[in-house]
Amino acid sequence: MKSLILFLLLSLNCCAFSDQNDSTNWIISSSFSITKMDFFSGMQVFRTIDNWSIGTGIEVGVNRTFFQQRIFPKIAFCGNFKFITKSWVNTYATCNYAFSLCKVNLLNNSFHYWNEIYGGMGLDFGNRFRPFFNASIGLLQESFRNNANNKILKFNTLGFQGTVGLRYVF
Amino acid sequence: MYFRFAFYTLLLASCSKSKNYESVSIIGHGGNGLEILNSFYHDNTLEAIELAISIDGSDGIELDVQLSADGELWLYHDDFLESETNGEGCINSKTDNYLESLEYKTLAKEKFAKLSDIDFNRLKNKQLYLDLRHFNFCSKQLVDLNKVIESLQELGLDHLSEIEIYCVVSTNLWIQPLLNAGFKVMATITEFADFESILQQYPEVNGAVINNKSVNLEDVKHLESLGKKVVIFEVRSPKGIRSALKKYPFGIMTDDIRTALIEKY
Repeated sequence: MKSLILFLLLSLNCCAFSDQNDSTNWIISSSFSITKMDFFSGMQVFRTIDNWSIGTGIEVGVNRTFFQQRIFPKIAFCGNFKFITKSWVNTYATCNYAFSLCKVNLLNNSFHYWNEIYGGMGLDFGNRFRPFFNASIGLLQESFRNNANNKILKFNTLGFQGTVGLRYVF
Repeated sequence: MYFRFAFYTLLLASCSKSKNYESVSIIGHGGNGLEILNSFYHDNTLEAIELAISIDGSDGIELDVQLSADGELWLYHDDFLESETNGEGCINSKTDNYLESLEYKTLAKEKFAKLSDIDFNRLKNKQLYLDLRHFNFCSKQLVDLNKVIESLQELGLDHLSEIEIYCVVSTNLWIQPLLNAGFKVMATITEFADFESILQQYPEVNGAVINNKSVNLEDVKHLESLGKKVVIFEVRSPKGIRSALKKYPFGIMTDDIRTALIEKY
């Protein structure tokens, strides 16, 4: 039920932004993604130049953190290159870098940090409102300070991200 | 805009956590979890153990232990090597030389590890659950318990006072010999009612390891009133972790330590 409320609220965000249409080079989007660490929900803004679009966004962890009164914020930077455009469908390559952090154990103030660098493919379709899907894989690094030996530890693994969302093109 | 901000804040505040789970231990199942999709490393590897014990707030790990043909204890969850490694057959029928050459079928290709590879100094003040596998699925015979006990004693695990070590067994035949050898023993049970008969036969047994779905708060309270510990496994999703914590067991064997810590605190 809570997830449904969250989804509806994010949909409202998109509708609210769609009233503003004074530029043709900007895109805003609302997305929901699944990653190794949590489900994330967030918003992005993109600038398009020819076939390229670059953007940034903020997201927040939902399933493992939001409903547990824990904030799991993520900031992401993303670049897309559109290489196939057929009528109203675009296929693009995407790469993104994201940084997120979360206080896992409240008692000893231990923050965990995650760096993610992903590459993948995606597609979107439509005109002004463009639903999109993309999937990417890459490096996921977790780092945190171990209080027992006061060392910063880093662990690397293969990460993934699957995203669905809705874009509005100005 | 203000309405949305207020709504998010209220939604966040409405998910209140009023319970105190301070007494519940968080144990990493197979190190940092058996669920490959969410785990950083394959279960029962040195990498997974290092990650699990490094996270502040984790109270210990559970490992699956199998005896090789040469009498060495190896860490592996499944019955057959081919399911997760580049080897084949059963550990109980393989030599240490063969097992040392194996690696997991993951991208990281973690090396196959034995119990003696663990730096036990890193486990000081932690709990260590050794799930001792008793059946050889290739020869269809019971594993030699005396050899298992000898190997555990060679590692000095019966005298490590700074680590709380529990032998977890799923056959009643192994309970008394392990207790006699000075080990703490917990019995894996599928139904809570099974533990009553185990308790009658082996009153010194230290507790039970039981599936989350098969136990409730009253069962846990009953066993704790008898001085026995309950550890709950099959604890993966946030919902599952929450439901296990609400039963206030001695510990939960979770596949997601971070989420368990977030739920606990």
